[in-house]
Amino acid sequence: MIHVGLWLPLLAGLLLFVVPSLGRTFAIASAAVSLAIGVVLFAGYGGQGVAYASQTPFLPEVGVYYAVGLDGAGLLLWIAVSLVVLLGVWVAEVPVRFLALALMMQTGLLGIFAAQDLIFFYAFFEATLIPALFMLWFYGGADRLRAIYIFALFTLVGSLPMLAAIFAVRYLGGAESFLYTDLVAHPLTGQAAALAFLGFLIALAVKTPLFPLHAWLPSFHQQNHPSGLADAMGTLYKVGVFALFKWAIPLMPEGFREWQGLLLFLAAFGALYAAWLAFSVTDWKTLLAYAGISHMGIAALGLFSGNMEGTVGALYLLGASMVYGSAMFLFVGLVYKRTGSLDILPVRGLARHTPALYVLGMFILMAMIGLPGLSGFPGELMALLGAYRVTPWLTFLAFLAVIAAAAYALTAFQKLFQENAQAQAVPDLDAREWGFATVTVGVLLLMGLYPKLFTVYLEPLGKALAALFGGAS
Amino acid sequence: MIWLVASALLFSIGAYGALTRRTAILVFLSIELMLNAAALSLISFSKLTGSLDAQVVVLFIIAIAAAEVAVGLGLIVAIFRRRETTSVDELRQLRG
Amino acid sequence: MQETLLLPLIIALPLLGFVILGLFGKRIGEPTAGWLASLLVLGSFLLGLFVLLQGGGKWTLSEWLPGIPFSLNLDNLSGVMLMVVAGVGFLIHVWAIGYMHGDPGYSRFFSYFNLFIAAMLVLILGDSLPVVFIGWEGVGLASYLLIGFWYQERVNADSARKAFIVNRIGDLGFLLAMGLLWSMFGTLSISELVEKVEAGGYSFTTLTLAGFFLLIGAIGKSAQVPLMVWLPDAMAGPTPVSALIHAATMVTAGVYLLVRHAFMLHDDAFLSGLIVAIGLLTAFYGALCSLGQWDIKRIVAYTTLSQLGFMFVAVGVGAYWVAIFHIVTHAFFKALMFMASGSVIHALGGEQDVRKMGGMRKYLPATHLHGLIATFASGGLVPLAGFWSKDAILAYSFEYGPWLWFLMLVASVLAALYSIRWYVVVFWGDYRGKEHPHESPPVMLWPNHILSVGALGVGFIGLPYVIDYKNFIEPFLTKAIGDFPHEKLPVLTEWVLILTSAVVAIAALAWGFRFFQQKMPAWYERFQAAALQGFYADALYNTLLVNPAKGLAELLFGGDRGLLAGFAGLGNLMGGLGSLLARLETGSLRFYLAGLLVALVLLVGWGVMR
Repeated sequence: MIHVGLWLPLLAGLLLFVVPSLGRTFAIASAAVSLAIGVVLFAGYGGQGVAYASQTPFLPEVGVYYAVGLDGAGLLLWIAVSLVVLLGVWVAEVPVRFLALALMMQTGLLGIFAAQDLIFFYAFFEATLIPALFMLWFYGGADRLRAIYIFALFTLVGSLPMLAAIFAVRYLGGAESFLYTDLVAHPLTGQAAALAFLGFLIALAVKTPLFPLHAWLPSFHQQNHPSGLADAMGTLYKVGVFALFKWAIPLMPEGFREWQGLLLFLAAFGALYAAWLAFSVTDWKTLLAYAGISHMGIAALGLFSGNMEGTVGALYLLGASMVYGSAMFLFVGLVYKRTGSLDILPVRGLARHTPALYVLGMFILMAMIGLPGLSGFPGELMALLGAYRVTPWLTFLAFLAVIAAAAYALTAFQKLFQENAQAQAVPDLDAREWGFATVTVGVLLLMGLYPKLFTVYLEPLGKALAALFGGAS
Repeated sequence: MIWLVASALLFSIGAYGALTRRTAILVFLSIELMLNAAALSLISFSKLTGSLDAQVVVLFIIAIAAAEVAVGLGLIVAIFRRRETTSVDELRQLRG
Repeated sequence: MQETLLLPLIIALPLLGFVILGLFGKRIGEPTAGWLASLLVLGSFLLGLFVLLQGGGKWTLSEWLPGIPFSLNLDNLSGVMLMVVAGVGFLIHVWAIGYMHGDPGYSRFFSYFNLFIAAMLVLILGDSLPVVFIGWEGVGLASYLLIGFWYQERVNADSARKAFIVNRIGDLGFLLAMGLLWSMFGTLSISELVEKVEAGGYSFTTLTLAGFFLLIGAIGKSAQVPLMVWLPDAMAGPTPVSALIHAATMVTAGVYLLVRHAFMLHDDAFLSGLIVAIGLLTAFYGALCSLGQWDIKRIVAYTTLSQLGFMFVAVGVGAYWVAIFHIVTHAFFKALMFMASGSVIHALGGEQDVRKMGGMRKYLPATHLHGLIATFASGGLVPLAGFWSKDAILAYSFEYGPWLWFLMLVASVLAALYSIRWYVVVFWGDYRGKEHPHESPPVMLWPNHILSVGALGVGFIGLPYVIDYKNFIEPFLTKAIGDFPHEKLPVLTEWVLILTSAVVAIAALAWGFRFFQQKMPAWYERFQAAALQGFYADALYNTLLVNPAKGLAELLFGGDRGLLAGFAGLGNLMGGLGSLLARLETGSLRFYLAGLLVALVLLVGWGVMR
């Protein structure tokens, strides 16, 4: 089952790319099947450890295995990714080949969460980049070449130190293979660990994104297709927090300890910095880019605090932000469809004609700024509780972002929907968009009101991570 | 031992030729000389150590050299047809 | 205290109304939508009453988040609050049926109104702090939506946004309090915190800090100095909103939160002193500002500020049950005052400037009566509701220090003055406008009748001990808040205090009644000009905080582009190095060959040397 779920999107994507006449329905069907598989896997999960594990020798001589499996965090993110892909291909107004690229990218993302072998993880991690680049290249805006240049520069250059560090972990640590279980049993120590962790960190900070390696993200979002599908996929690609949690920290706990102070500071500072800065941004995509950086700063802060609450919060916030972040980009795509522009400044007064769109936007926006009862809050709260135990002052700094977030989000929202009584008439949601709205709002509420659904599975993971540092740090 | 000296000589002649000749054909010839010098040295080492491995490699080299001649000469002929020259000093378009 | 599913049901009823009216409101239309919303709130009220009469109840969903249950708790304290919120809330709902008549957003209004009630009930009933926080921000959201209800006017949208952002400052305090309490005690459930705080074994200073964070939250929600700036602007919303949210219920949530955490505050002299100072400042600030306003709703809004200051002082001096008692009486008379104002606005077709009112007692006899009762209750006339609760605050203040009693007495003189000013400029004199005032329909009058009865009589549940040795509300509430024994004042002192405040209130009301009918003297005009601007608090904040923050945002945005340029420059540097290397690609075959041979010689040489 897990193999089908993993590879189906790639096959479907390739097929759709070659035979575009299959159309959007085919893409939706594929995404729906993926999501269904994800839900079935989730329903069958026992609650402990890595489930659905399977491994086949791939290059046994050098210790590479095709090994996949899912733990609680992997399942949460698997479902989040599948859901967003489904929503994206359902609602975004894009050419069919674009959908195909999105499906191909899905396999890469699922692989990142499912891989239990470091080399395969790296392969998925890098391969995911290819469809993302293609989306930007084929369907991007006028200034896309520069955006591609910057995107590729950050991601590719960033990944090389990680590749080096991967081999360091295996050979200096003395593991038999690249399997997760093997590597964890032989963690690196001492100076080597600190250096190797830095190697991982550079690659993963780009994808978190963590200040100051976030700089590629705004131009990436600005230049992508206005439908928001590529941006949504880009949001899913922010797997840095997960990879740090799954690989970098357990493999090199001592290395992490070397950098912990700096990392906590960067995460907290980035959270506030991006939120504050977003206040003077004048277009939606840049705004959302910075908002995402700010949320990931909070998630990273939770993770870096190295205790149970912080870890659970970070992972939950990651999953939640994949959903609301992507939904926000798709929502902005719907706005673009109606107004033909993504600038914030003109006073549009849309709400008068599009009450349903207004309500949808309100829900996603409120989830985004962490309103309790919606999906952003449980993660933020747990991250706060975890981080506060480690570093109260930095937590205070980071959570000043809560105020800044309200300021930038509501200001932009007001410009888009309110103020203007003489707004031009535009159509409200059509049937397809209603489907998108219903599912999105439902998921936001579910994740906000009943976090227990996932946190019971995240809790043991958080405890395991905290145990690396003697329970509580 | 003497064969090793011969091989070194042959290589030097080839190197000299490859560096000084202008015509692509002659450069090509000189390169063939160097290749065979390498093969010769392999054979002599094989004789010194009594192992047959190197001789097998040389057989491969001969086979590859044959193929290489075909491809290389073909290229030179094609270039001559197009550019009416085979002087390596004039053929320097392949730069970054 | 048994587990009961009724608690989530109490919350679910108005929530259901929010969903139904939000989805199908247009089809339901008026007045059905309004009645549906009202009846659901009444249902919550009755259910709450039922559970309260059974001695309370609780409901828990364990491990909602790791280590944090989703727990609700209805004890006497939250029960009293629930009675106020759902009871007064129901009356205001009914009143709004008439007030909102003909508004294009009729059902949307009631949908938001029900959302507010649901969130407020979560806030009140929540037992673990994150649950309280859900309600806490939920009411903030509802308040945002309702202040900006007529969002097509920029002013309204701006006011709504301002309220939300200022409230978020307080919310940050709440969040930090949760972080600190969690790191201290490993639990966020209030009932467990009570035990752990009593058990001891922690740093007292840290607990003070936690209390301080909670206080910041309370300051934001209850619009105390220095976060008071949002409340006057919040009057941009429809009048029922001002009555329900910004007078009777939501703004008292901060006081409720502090009372809930009385166990952390009661023997902390620093925090108590701070709360008293803040409350005192707010009481004076609100009162003075109110005396200078021309907008009828802003007059009442500032009086609310002042009364909230009274409640804070009550909390600060340790009179927790009195604070709640004052919330109850205040809910009645302030809601009445707002709704009387609303009836006047309604009668004048939306006019809010008191300079174009006057003489309403001839046109609107019933509303005039309501206004009179509200004025007397708010001004502290014996024996109306406001008198008893205010008197209790004064008595406790005297225990805290006679100087505080004196200041509070001055504040209550101001309270009497602003109440009577409101009454005089609206109902006396001659009508100065051009409309044709008409009395409100019964659906708006009946809620006011009921509230009037409350404003007249609800004070008798909390008489001073010299009159009624065991009044009803004190033992009832202390069961939930915790009993913090204090020296009762001697009988004689108590009587002197009661008589002083009664006489002073009557004198102030009488003097104000005459004074505000005359032409204003010049010194009053000067004072009025400053008070009208809220003593320039907004301008001060804009200069000191808002504009620098915006400027910094611009600066950071520029800086961030610089950062990207820096990284791109790094890329270009690498590219430059590459193009240096590319020079080696001459295209000359001979050059390449020479290079090859040199490399060969070097390699062989290196091998030989080794």
